[in-house]
Parts: sequence; C-alpha cells; structure tokens
Amino acid sequence: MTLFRGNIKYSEITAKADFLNRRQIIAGATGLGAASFVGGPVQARDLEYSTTDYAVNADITPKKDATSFNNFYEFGTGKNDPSENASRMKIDPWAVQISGLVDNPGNYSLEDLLSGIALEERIYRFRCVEAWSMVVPWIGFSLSDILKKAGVQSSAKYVAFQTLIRPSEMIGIKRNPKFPWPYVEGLRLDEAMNPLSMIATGMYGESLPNQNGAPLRLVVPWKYGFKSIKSIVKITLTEAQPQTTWNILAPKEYGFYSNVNPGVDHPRWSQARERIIGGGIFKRDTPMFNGYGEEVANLYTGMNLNKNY
Amino acid sequence: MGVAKVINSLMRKLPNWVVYIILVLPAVYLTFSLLGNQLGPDPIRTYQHKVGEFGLKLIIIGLFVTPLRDLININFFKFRRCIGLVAFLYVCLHFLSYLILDQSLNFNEVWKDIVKRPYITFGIMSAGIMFFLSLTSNNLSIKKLGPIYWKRLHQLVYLVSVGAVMHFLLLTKTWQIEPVIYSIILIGLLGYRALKACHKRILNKKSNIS
Repeated sequence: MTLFRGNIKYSEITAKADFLNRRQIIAGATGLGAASFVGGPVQARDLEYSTTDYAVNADITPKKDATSFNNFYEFGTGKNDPSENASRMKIDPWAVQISGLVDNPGNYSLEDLLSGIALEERIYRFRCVEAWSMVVPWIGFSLSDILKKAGVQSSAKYVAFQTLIRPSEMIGIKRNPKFPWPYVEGLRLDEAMNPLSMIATGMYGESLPNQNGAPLRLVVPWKYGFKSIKSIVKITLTEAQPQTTWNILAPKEYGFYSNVNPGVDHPRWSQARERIIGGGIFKRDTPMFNGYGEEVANLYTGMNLNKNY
Repeated sequence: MGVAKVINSLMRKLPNWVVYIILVLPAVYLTFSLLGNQLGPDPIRTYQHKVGEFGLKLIIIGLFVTPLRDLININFFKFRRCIGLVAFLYVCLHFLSYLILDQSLNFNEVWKDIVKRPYITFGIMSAGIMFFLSLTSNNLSIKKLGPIYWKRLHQLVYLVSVGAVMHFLLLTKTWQIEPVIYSIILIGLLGYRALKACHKRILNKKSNIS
C-alpha cells in the first residue's frame, strides 16, 4: 500500500497562537464551560490534511453513528453516554507525558507534540470486540512519528498508554468507582512502529469529538477497538509488558494482543462475523487481522494466536 | 381497601382481548421498525434487547399476580394466561432474531453456542420450558392433566424466570445495573413464595399435632 503525502505542511495551517486565541475568545464569549455542543462549529475545527491510499472497499460509517455509538466508559457505559456526557471534558490545554526508556522525556503540550508532523486522512476498518464494526476516515499520522521525537532507546520493548482520569469531568468514573481507572493500554514496540498504527487527532474532516477520544487517540486497525486507547495523557516506553485495562477486568476474555481473529472466539460469543454499524441487519464475515494481514501478519509468525489472544 | 376494590372492578370489566392487543403492539412496532431499518445504528442488538426485555418484564409481571392478590387484594389473575403467552411471543421473536439474523439459520453454530456459552444455555432452557408451558396454557390441558399436576407443571415458571435473569446477567461485558435490578426483584418474588410455602408447612404441622 503506497502512501501519498500531499504538500500541505502542518506549519502552513493556521498559526497555533492565533488558533488558540480564537477558541479562547469564542469560549469566553459564549460561556462554553457548561454548554453541550456535539460536533458544533466551536468544538470541531476543520483540519487540513492530505489524502492517502488508505481506503477500504466498503461504505464509510455515517458520521452521526460514529459519533454517537461509542464505548468510552469514563463517560458512562451506555452506547449513547459518551456523546451525551463527554462535552464536560476540557481538552484545552492538553499535555502528554512521555517517559520511560526514551532520550527526550517530558511533559509535551499538544502543540509541541504535533509540531512538524503532517496530518493525513486514512480510512480504516474499526472492529470492536463486541462484534460490531465501522469504517472511519481518521485524520492523523503514524505513531512512529511521535516515538521518533521521543527517541526510543534500544532497551525498550513495549509502549504503554494511559487515558485522562478526571472524575470531576467524567461522570462514568464517579458511577463506576470499582473499575481500575485510569484506562491503560499497550503495544509491543514493533506493533507501535508499524506504519498502520496511527495517532488520530481528527475524523470526518474535523478534529475529534470528545466522545471519540479528543484531542488525540490511538488507532490500531488490526486489533479489537478497545486497544485503540482514547484521550491519551501518558506514553511510556517500557521493557516489561504493560498492563491493559480489559485484561485486568476479565483476563480470560481479553488478552494483550487482541488481534482481530475470526478463528479465536471470545469465551461468550463467536468472532467469526460482525454487525455493521449503520449498515442494516445483515452481518459480514470478519477477516483475519481485520483485513490488514498483508501489513501485519509477519509480526506474529510463529506465535500461537489461540494462546496469545 | 377502596382503591383495591376500584381496581378490581375495572379489571373485571376489561376484556382479555384488549390486554392481548396492548401487550402485542410493541412487538408489532419493533418488528416493523427492524425490517424497515429504523432501529438506529445497531438494529439487531437493539431489537433483540428490546423484545428480550419485554419478554422478561412480562414474566416478572406474571409472577406479581399472586403476591399482589395475597398482600394488597389486587386481583389480575384473569390476565395471567395472556401475560404468559405474550411473554412467550416476545421470547420467540428474541430467539428468532438470534437464529436468523445472528446465526443465519446455521443450526450447527446454534448448537455450539448452546453448549459452549452458559448465558445461551440458560436462555434456551428457559425458552424451551416456556414452549411447553405455552402449549398447556389452555383449559383443555387443565382438564386433561388435572388441576394439581397442571399447577405443578406451571410452577416451572420459577425455573424459567431464574434462567431468564441468569441469561441477562451473564451476557453483558461488565456488571450492569439493569440485570442486577431484575435479579433483586426476582429474589423478592420467589422469596415471597418460599416464605409462603414454609409458613403453610408450619401451619400444617401445628394442625397435625393438635
């Protein structure tokens, strides 16, 4: 799959300072704090990005479904809860703490993190472990771009991630105090460096809605959706395999690798087929690695994927 | 007592066929919505969940008949057969959506599910018992079986209700509040009957002694 990169550089996009000021001015004028806009003109700014060859031979999920049918338990466990409750999350200012086995650790502001990185649109399949799927036009870049900035040391074997934990803005955390918050996830380093692994800062031509993991999230399209951690605040390079939340919650049902695999059932349901969100009442067969086998199968040669689910 | 009397006289006047229609209407609406793809982004699950929950609600409502009559003198006994049969209708729709939309009529896969997945084992057990209870929900069966055996057979609804709640409890990814609420209500309803049976036995013992 060849990558076509357009010639729009991130630096050519609206100067950061002016852009930040615009949001603050609007926020001040409308008293945005308590308001609940979903995808409205203030929360979703138009992004500039180039197109790529990452595409799927299927219909893109309707935007209203992708932005209102979500699993983001920090905002409630119902599918509609995140779109109803996530507006409370403040995503500006935002910082990501990069630490562990890296040359350049630190608390990076979002602007510093993204500076010099060009955005591109990638249409990926997205497959939830609950056996439903979407096709989403993400906007972002390869995770490896950030890892290069961090300067990964040779002793690092894994990348660990953590989601924001802010109970005052996340009603789901208050409702489910027994969950092992914060949400954590991880990838093997070679999985993280694979060009398919992306950091998304937008979708459908706009910046990410809060319920989809604003302001930046991971998208690993050949794994079940819960691996694509949202609203990232920490990236840590480690030697030992990191903990992952769903594995903590139900180790027999959710493993570290969680590759999309129609041949390995979830203990309580088959993974051979999937319901298409927004696509009616007919199911489709689930392809191995969610159809990305050509790009990633070599990461797992010799591995027993039944044991390493 | 006045309220109970008013309610009971209203119930006496309400014909059974009206209750049938009211209870079946949601099933008609949901099924047409499903076929017209009007049930939102995940129509299969939405339909299954809604008709399943209706069925469960009706099973639970049916179990309220006796306690309500005993404790507060409200009598909707005459609607219990209707409630039970319509509950079975919802369970059929629930099962058919699974068989047709989830499994595409692949009975091999269905059997694997029944054997491998406890929540489906519970579901099939409850649905299966309901099938026999529905077959015998008529006066002819009461006559043929005799009222004592018929009553004992239909006490299998207790097993049906437990199986249905277990089915609901086990199918969610994490502990959800809804199935837990149904469990609590069911424990109350069955607990009431257990206490009643104990009480009867104690009374019988006393009268035997004296």
